[in-house]
Amino acid sequence: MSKKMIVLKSSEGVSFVVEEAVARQSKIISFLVEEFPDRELPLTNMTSEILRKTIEYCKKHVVEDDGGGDSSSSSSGDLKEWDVKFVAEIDQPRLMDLLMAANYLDIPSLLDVTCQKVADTIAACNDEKEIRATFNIENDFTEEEVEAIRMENQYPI
Amino acid sequence: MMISDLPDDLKAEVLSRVPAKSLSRLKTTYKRWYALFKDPRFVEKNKKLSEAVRESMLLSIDMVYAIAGDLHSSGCDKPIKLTGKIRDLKGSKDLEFSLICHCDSLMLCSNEGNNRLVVWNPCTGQRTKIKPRTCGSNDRYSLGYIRSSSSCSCGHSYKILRYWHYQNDQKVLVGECEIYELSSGSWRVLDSFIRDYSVYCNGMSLKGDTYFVARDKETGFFLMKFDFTAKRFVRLPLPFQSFDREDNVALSVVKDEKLSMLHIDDMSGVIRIWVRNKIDDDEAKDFSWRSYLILEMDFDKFQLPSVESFFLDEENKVAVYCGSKYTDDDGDRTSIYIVGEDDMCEQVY
Repeated sequence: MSKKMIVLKSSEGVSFVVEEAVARQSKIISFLVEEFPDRELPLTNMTSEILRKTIEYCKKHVVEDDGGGDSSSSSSGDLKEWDVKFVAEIDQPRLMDLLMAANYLDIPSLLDVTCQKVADTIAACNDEKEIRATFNIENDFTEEEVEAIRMENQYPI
Repeated sequence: MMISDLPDDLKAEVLSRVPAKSLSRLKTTYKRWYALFKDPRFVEKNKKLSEAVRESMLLSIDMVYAIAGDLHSSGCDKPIKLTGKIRDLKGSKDLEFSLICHCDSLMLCSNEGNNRLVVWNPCTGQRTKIKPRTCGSNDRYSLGYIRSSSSCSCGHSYKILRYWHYQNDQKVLVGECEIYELSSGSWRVLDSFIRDYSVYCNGMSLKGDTYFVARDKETGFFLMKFDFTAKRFVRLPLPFQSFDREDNVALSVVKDEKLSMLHIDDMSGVIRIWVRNKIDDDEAKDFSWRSYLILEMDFDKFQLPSVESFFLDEENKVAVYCGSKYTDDDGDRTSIYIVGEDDMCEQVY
């Protein structure tokens, strides 16, 4: 039995042919496939690069439901390891794009790994300065303001 | 795209995954993050924030100890590490609380003489000082809220229960309680009654109500709930029966969802820890300790001090056990252990 394929179109107009089961991990695509069967789905706010990455993730995470026992070859441990590698290879601006895409397409597990990666990066920084440098954030506090906030963190009694 | 371009709800998704010990740093990194922490909706929506705060602190007699590491991170060898006493900002003295009561993201703290009370939100830094009307050494305070029927979570109406007892002219023990409403800032006397039981541990708040363990002559030990919505005490069953006044008990909350209880049987010296199923809305109809995990270990063998408080890591089946023992040399001395199955017992402090 041949698998049902659908077509996703990136903002640059590049078409990606994807197995329906793979794409259906996105709740939005799942909905669109049912509403508009046999149609190309334009994803105008996603670049080809990000769409390719998202599909790569979905392919790895698809659980085939064809009754076969060992259809999903990856154990959850392997999958976790794969996820870690997957987000480690992406540079920061693209990680944010991917995070946005996971949110937009409603893929909870991808949103979770991307958010966790950003959180881990923040936690690995030693101080505010390093966080700002890592994420290219401008310091918008005056010294007095920082001091006032530190006082708030003091224990109350 | 940069992190600063993320919409607020996604920022919240990210920041709520940052471990508790890095959180305070975030506030002083970027103004828009600081604003998020100041937003009660953000804090309430991110239960993980308040959980992290709760789990990073243990209360012993008068001291607070900080625990580093995520109690619920699984698969790691040493999930719990003690980082020492929490000190005030200048580090000049140890903080002394006689009580900490968590309720969602809020903490109620009181000092030893019970003459200072503060409701503190460690995430937002917001604090409310409360003046007790009178104070006594047997005061017990706890924090709760009225459960609203609607599912709206836009701020609970928090209340403080003060609960104490005295002996009247006829030598009868009388219990009294009063309630402080945080929104109006006023105390109201609720009730006075003949108290025919003794209370065994500090109140533990869960889903707006407070739980105590008490004992009387007829039923032995039982669980007592103060229902902030109905404004009354309710007696509930415990998973064991004991009349032995020397038994030791403590309550704890697992992941803001479940009530857990530690009982040390004085006769056999066995420590048992129970966990209740999630508390659902119709608990009045059916309160039982349905599914529970029992950690059993020999109390006498390890010469543990009597329990003050504990935390349970349900997944890894280990508990942090905090107790204190009186010695003539040192006075009250606190020790902290990590205990688990197969007689695992390691002193960490």
